Amino acid sequence: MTEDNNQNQVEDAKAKKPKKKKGPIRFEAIIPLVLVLVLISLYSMFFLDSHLRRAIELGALYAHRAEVNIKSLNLSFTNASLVMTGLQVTNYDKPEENLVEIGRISFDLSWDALLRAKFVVDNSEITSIQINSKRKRPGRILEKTKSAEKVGTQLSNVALDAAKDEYEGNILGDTATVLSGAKPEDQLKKIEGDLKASGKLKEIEKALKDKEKEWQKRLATLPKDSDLKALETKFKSIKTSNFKNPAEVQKSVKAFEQVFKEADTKLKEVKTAGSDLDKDIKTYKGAFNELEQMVQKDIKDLEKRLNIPKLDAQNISKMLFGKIIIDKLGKYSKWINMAREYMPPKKSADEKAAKKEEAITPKERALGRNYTFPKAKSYPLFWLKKAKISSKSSDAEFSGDLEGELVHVTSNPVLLGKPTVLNLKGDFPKQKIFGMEAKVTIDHTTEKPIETLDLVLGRVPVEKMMLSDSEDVSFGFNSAQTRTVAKATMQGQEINLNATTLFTQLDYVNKAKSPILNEVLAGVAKDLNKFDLVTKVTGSFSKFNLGLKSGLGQALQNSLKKQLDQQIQKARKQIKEMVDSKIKGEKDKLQSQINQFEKKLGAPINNAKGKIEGTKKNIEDSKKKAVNSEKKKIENKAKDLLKGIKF
Amino acid sequence: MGLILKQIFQFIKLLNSDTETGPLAAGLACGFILGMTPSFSLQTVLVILILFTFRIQMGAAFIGAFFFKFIAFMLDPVFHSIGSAVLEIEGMKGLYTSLYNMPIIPFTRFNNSIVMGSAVVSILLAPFVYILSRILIAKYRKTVVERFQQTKFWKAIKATSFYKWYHSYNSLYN
Repeated sequence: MTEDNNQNQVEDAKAKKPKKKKGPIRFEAIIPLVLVLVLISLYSMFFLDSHLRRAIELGALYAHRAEVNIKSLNLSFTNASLVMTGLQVTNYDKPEENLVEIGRISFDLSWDALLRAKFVVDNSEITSIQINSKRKRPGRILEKTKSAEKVGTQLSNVALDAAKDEYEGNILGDTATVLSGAKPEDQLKKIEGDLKASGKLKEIEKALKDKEKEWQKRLATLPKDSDLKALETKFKSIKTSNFKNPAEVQKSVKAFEQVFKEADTKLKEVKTAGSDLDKDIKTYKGAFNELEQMVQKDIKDLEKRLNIPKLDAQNISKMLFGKIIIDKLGKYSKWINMAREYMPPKKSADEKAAKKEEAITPKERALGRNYTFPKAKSYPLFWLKKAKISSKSSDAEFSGDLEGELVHVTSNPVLLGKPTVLNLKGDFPKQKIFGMEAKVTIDHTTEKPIETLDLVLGRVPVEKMMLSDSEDVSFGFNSAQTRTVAKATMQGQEINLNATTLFTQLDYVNKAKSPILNEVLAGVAKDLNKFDLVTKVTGSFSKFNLGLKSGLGQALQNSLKKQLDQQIQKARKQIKEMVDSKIKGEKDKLQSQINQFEKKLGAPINNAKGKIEGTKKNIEDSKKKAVNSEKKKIENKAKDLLKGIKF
Repeated sequence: MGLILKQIFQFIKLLNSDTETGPLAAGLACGFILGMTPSFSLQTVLVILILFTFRIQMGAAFIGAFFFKFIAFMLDPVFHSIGSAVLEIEGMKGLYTSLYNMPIIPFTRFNNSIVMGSAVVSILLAPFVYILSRILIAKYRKTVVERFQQTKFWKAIKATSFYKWYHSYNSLYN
């Protein structure tokens, strides 16, 4: 016990022993904190750049599915700048090449914006750009995942593909076929079952038969002769003379009215049936007339199957150059859709309302109210104020002497109120492309986004451009020089493209099995040493009108028209006659069926109508007769009475 | 429920410990500010930095914040009206506009009525919470803890070998 007390006393003494007073600042925590900060600084000085570079390379590899390399990366917190050198993006389809290689990219960010959690690049430089440059070693490729393409892009691509199919033809090859003599019989035999007019004929015939059955049933329900006879007996039994008193007259009139009403109901029934029948006959006659349009369509389809060409300059130009132009349009549509996704234009009132409707959720408690004050300085989330672009030509496959600048690339063009503008000027000596000047303006500051492109390509060589290449005919150029001036705008969904390309220094390739065509092509090649191609595209990517005019088309038209017109007209006539003869018998049969239908069903209805109307008239007459006889009787009585009174 | 009980026990443990009254009261005052702030914002970071730099009882601050959050939850309508009144002072609009356009400051969400109301109330009341906590802790220690330590029951417990073992364990590892 004493021992325990002693121990307690020692403990109490220990507890009472005054502790060393500590100051108000927690140095034991601050020192480790400072140490941690120093370590972070050292890490960012020595390792952050390389780790960030590797992270970007890895992220880009998974995003692009092909290797991306960065030679060096330098991130400076004090200057808020980023410098990247030797950026190489592997071409997914050709791993031994780079899709793009950029020598140096630098970004100077604004600290003022960063402190507001915004990324504003005051200055940027992108230099030494090379396209399709060779890689030292092939880049790593990852298997592509199913890309979630936007529906809009898919739709426009579907439309473009359909348009491409339309211009897929080989007009000179078709011309050669016609020159060798088109044989519509074989084709007609093949598509006999597919003739639209034939199908329509069968359809009308079947519907007519069904309708006839329907009408037979309906006719059975209409008033018959026996009904009319019963009605006649009924009104004939009504007293029309020898009335004893006015009450008897009244009774007869009432009976007449009742029978008249009955006859009227029956007449209405018959009349309705008559007008319904008229409607049906009209429908079938109309369908019969539509047949003629089907025949025309069948003729057109057959002409297409037989590849009978339309020999006008515009069509020739479209068939020769259409596919090339649509291929290019497809590429632009992809970029425009991308720009609209990442640089969204101002939302219309409807879109805003829709979004608001989507966003309606039960308001959380205690959210308070956010007061807004005038914003003197506000930045969009991302804003690249100015980027200088420059490049010097090198040994790479596609490199050039380029100078230009890109201004106002932003994630919120509406807030910034300035359009993105890219100006580029330069030459690509290796590709022998000179005098390129491009100005791209992307204006997404309003509800209706507008993208414009002004392009001048001073001199672009064309090598091996085959406009028509088949067994029967080969036509194109081994080489040529072109100069293009183009202006394109896209406002909302409306495209407007005007481009003029001048082809000069033409070295033609012309070969045809048909001697006539060979002669025509050789003549064109000899006389035409330059021509222009005027392209006009209007409409939207999903529905556009392509207008193509070219001097080459005109020259081909002039030379081919004389040779081919007669053959083409002959083939067309032959096709028409063949289609007509195929369906003429069936057509006449249908016509007579419709006439019979009208006659067969119309006659009993009209008969019944006439009979009921006659009965109605008889009733009316008997009623009048009864009333008049009684009237006369009263008048005579009155006269007799007046005679007895002498004044 | 388990979490609340744990917090209560920790708080009682703190009150009964040797911790000085000042840091404990300061911790509670800081916890009061933290608890009243509706969401994580820049002022929360500032209070945490103060906690970290100065000798303020962190446990008390976090326990305080935990409990004050419940009161703040109920006081939100009051904070909203106070905050709205403050933000609508015509003469202050110039200052608010400047603050709104400054970097970093908008992260405090000062333009929100509840954030502003809770900040005004908590900062104004923090000194009173500090003084009141100091008085109450001192009184609690004097009237409850000391009296309890004088009881035979406590003395008996202190005499047990289990307590001695726990005491030495606690002084070594706590």
